[in-house]
Amino acid sequence: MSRLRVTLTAPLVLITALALGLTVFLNLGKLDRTITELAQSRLQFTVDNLRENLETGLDLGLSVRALGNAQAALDAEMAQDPAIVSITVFESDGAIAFHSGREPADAASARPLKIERSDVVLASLSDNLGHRAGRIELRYARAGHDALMEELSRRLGLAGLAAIAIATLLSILGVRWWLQGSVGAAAGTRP
Amino acid sequence: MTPAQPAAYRPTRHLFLFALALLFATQLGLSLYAWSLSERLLLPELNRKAQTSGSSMARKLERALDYGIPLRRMEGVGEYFDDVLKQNKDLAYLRVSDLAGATVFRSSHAPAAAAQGDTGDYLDTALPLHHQDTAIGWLHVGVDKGHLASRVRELRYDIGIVLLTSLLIAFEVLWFIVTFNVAEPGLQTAEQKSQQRVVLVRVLTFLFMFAEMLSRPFLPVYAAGLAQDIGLPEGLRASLPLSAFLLAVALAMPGAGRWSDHAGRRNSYVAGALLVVLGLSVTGLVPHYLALIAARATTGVGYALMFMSCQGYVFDHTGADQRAKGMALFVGAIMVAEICAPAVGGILADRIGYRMVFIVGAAIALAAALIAMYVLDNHKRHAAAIAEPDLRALSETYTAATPQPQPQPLTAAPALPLRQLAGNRRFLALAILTGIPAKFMYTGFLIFLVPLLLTSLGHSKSEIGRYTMLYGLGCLLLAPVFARLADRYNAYAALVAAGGLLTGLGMLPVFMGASAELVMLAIGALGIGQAMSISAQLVLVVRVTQAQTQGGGSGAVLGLFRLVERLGAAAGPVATGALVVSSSPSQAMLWLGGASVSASLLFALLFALPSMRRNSTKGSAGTATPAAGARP
Repeated sequence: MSRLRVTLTAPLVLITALALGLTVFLNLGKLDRTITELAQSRLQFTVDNLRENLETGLDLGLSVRALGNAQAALDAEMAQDPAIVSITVFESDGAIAFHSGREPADAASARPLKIERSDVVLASLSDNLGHRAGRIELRYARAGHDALMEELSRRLGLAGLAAIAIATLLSILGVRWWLQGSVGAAAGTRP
Repeated sequence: MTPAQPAAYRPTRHLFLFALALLFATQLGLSLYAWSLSERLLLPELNRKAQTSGSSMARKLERALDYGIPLRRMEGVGEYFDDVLKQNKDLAYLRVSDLAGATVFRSSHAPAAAAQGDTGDYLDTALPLHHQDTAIGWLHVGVDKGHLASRVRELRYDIGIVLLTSLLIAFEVLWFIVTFNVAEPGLQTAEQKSQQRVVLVRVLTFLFMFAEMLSRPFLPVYAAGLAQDIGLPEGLRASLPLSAFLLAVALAMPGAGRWSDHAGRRNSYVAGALLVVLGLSVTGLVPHYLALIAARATTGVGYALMFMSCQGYVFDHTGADQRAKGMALFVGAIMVAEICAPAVGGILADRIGYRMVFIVGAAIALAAALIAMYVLDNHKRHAAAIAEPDLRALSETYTAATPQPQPQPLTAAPALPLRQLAGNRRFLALAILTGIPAKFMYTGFLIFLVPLLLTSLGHSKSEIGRYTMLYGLGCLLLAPVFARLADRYNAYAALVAAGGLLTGLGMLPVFMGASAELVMLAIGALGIGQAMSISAQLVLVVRVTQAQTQGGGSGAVLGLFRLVERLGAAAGPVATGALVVSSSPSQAMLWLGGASVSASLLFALLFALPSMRRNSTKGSAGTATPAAGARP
């Protein structure tokens, strides 16, 4: 009887644990995407603000490199948000025109060096004729996002483990009840 | 449950109820905790969004003020706010007020009271508006405190699917364990014994179907993405691996049945499972288009072997009087997998990627092989029984509730009267206008077009998996109902015609423009349409070929009909792919709908209406039409 109890309890606990694990996994995945989307949409405002600012100059016929207020605008945005790692303005040929940030730009590769783990928000620059003049690339640190996800994972993981422990206990009791009560009664009815 | 049923069955229900309560309570508790946690921990993130977006908008307004435009006379502020709110669903309202608090501009998703400053459920961030260093008003950015939790609550469908799937799997596994460990010693009758043997193979059927169907919501999209340099248009690239699988199934099925009879059920099941493991592993590990096609064909052969082994096992262990019940259990497992697997596959694909889902499928098929080695006896059919291919053809339908013809003792395989069948117009009408279109719609629309179309509409794989569940639910719930109605009213031809018509009509509204709702409508119509028609089709095949099958049994004819249907199924994806190439996914859906409606109307004209007239004449003459149970 004890072998049967284990045979019944084990898959019940295993399926419950798998279902709970999948639920934790789904929740963390959704939260991760939600936080990423939130950060992206927040910083899209910053990039759009910069784009409008720079395109005012482009509409006057200036080239990207000739935009006098660009560096100051980049520095101002950098100062406003500690999550921003760097903001770079590229010309249409991919060369760096302006750069502001905690990370230096690598002039040789025309890329900002990636030191911190970061994500990117982009916006393209066009002149008033609709010609593509360059692009803005904003990198923001994932450190805060990672820390938040770590905290959420820890709390949800603990909650999941607690739920599995409760499910295990209930499964043991439930299977015991079922074997003792119902099957016992059923066995009594057998010829 | 009757008193005659085994005693061990009655308490099994209690065990299932316990499992249901346990899974439901634990998942609900954990989900509620996750939602409350997300609300608490993520609110500061939302606040930052309000600050950043508010600063950006305030700067724009201040720029206008610097051009000398008074706040109250600014044009287009409301439209601008509307646009911002449209693009940022997490923002509940935007409001500009003067220093006294009176609203100047306002745009809101939230109730008017909230946007006026009554911010109980909303987090209000107020940013000053300056003109020449003097504050002249405020910009209020409101975010819904429950927004993040509501985003996380979007998971409720996914979690519901996890719950449903875990319940169904728990049900299958517990039933299997109870049958294997508890019920066996208490067996009383041959019927109970055979039913319990069928339960043993039911879990194996469920497992291999589940393994294979996991990739349903994304396989065409995955295939199309693999071979961009192969020179084929996207629609065809997406369809060829599906057709390779279906063609392999169609061609391998007859041989697989015979080989399973000779090699034994366990050997053939394990061989099939290992082929599926190989096929799915190669699909997951080798991201190459030609390897994908070869792997899908291999998986198809393995699928055919496993299918025929399970079905053969049911036939081996059921007598004529329990066969319908045995097939109901077998088909039930297929339908449960049809409901669960695409939904779970979609969820997994969104989280772990397409290729890992194939590996998960391979692992499940391997587990199925191990279980089969342990529980299946290697039963081989003896020579006389091998010559009885007839009822196998019937079982590949979702017709559990329809009483099936009695098996006929045969001593030799009946020769197929191909010439006579080719001259049988009603058989041809059935095969060409209903049999092939039904399978064509199933594979061309549900398996191929739905993932492509919904992906092009921006839906996730989880959503695609959820939508395709509708088909399985429709079939599972309604097929027995329609089968009973068909038997009761002798309405086989009418149901076949109506089923095809409904399938086609469900697809036609896409002319208004493709949307998820219209695709769902079409999936639902397909499920109901197939539930109406598939069981009735086979009854009609038996009836209209009586002259050709006299003395030999209907098995060979049904087998031929099934083969023709399967070839139609194999053609479905590639033909629909060609339609996609020449037009668009939504146009292809319209074409499929039109084709189904036309075929069904033609069938009704050629077949159903004359049948109904004949029936009514017979009825008025006082001659009862034989009921399904009395059919040959």
